[in-house]
Amino acid sequence: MSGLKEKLQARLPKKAETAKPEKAAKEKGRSLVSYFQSQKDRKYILRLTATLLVITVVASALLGIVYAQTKPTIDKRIREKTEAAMRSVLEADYYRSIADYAGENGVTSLNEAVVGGRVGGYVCEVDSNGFGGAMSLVVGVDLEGFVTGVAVIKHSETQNIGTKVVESEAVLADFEGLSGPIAMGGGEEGFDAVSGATYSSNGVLAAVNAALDAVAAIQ
Amino acid sequence: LQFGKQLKEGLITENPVLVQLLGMCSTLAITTTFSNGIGMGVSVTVILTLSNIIISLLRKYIPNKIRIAAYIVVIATFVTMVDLLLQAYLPDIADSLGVFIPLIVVNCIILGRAESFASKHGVLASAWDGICQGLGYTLVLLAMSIIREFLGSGTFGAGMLNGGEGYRIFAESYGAQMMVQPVGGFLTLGVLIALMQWARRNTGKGGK
Repeated sequence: MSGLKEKLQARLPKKAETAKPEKAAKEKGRSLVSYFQSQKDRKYILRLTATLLVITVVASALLGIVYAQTKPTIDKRIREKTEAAMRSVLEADYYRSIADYAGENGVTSLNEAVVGGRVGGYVCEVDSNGFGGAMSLVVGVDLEGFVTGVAVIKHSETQNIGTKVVESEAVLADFEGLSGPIAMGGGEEGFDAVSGATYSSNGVLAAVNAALDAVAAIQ
Repeated sequence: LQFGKQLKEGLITENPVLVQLLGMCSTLAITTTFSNGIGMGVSVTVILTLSNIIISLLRKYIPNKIRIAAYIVVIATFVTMVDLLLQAYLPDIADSLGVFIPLIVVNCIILGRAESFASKHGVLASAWDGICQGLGYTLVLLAMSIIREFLGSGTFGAGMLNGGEGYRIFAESYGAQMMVQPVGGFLTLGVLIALMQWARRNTGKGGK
C-alpha cells in the first residue's frame, strides 16, 4: 500500500520538473518510476510529508488547546441561553430532563417543568431546518397538550426575510394556545406562514408539531 | 512595504471584489443589511491580516508543491480558533457574527492573497496588504448592503443602529423584496463592477 502511494507521488514531480530527469532516466536505461525512487527523490517526498505533518500536528495541537480551554465557557453559555429560553416559554421552578427519552423527529431533549413540586408541563428542545440550514428551538407544552410558547435559540435564516419568523415574537406567539397537529393556514387552529419566508415558517411549524407529538407520546 | 500604493490597490485599482472578482459568494449572500456588511467585512479583514502574517512567516519553510494544502490548514485552524475564542469570551460579537465566521474559511480572498501576496512578501508588507484588501472588501460590502437594504426594505442600519431598529426611510411595503433576495445581489454587484470598470477606463488605469 505504502509502496503504491510512493509510486503515485513519484509521478507528480515528473511533469513539473524539466526534461533533465527523463533524460537521465533514459541514459541509464531505467523506467521513470524507478528513477524517481532514487535516494534524492525519496528525500524530497519525505520533506513534503514531514512539512505537512508538522503543520497539521501544530495546527491540531493549537486547536486542541483552544478547544479544551474554551469548551467549559461555551457550554455554560449555551446552557444559560437554553435555560433562559425555557423560562420564556414555560415558567417553572426548575426543569428536570427525562433521562431515558430517545429523541425522534428532531426533538433532542424532553424536560418536565416542575412547579411547586409537581409537573406543570413539558419543555422540548427541538432541532429543525429552515431556509438557511439548521435551527434550534425550545417549545413549551402544558399538561393538556397546548403550546405555551416557542423560542428560537439558534438559527441561520436570512436577515430581513427568515428573521421575520424566527426573530419575531409576534409571529412565534401565534403558536400559543394551539394544540397538535397544527396545520399551515390562517384561522383559529392554524399557523399562518409569513409570506416570503415559507421555508422558515415551515421549519418552525415542523418543530412545534414534533414537540407536541413527543409530549403526547409520553403522556 | 509600499504604504500608499498597497492602500490604493486594495481600495481601488486591485479591489478584491470589483476588480479581482474574489469572494463573490459571501458578497452576494450576506449584503442584505448594513450590519451584516460591517460584520462580515470586519471579520474578513481581521482574519485576512492574521493569516497573511502567518503565511508570510512560514513562506520559506513550505515547499512549493504542497503550499495550497498548507495554506488551507493554516487558514482553517485560524478561523476555528477565532470562532471558539469569540464564542467563549465575546459572546455578543459571536452572536452577531456567528453565521459569517465559518464562511470565512472558504472565502477565496484569504487564499487568494496568501497565494499571490503573502507567500512572496515580508511580514510587514503582508500584514498591511491584509488590512488594505480587507478594507477594500468591506467598502464594497457596505456599498452593496446600503443599496440593497434601502431599495429592498426601506431602512438604513437595521439590526445595528437606532437600537436595532434602523432608520426607516420609506414604508416596508413599498420596498422591492427582490433587492434583498439573491437576484438583487447579482444586479447590484453587476452595476458596481460596471461602474468600477468605467471609472478605471476613464482615468486611464486599465480595465478592459
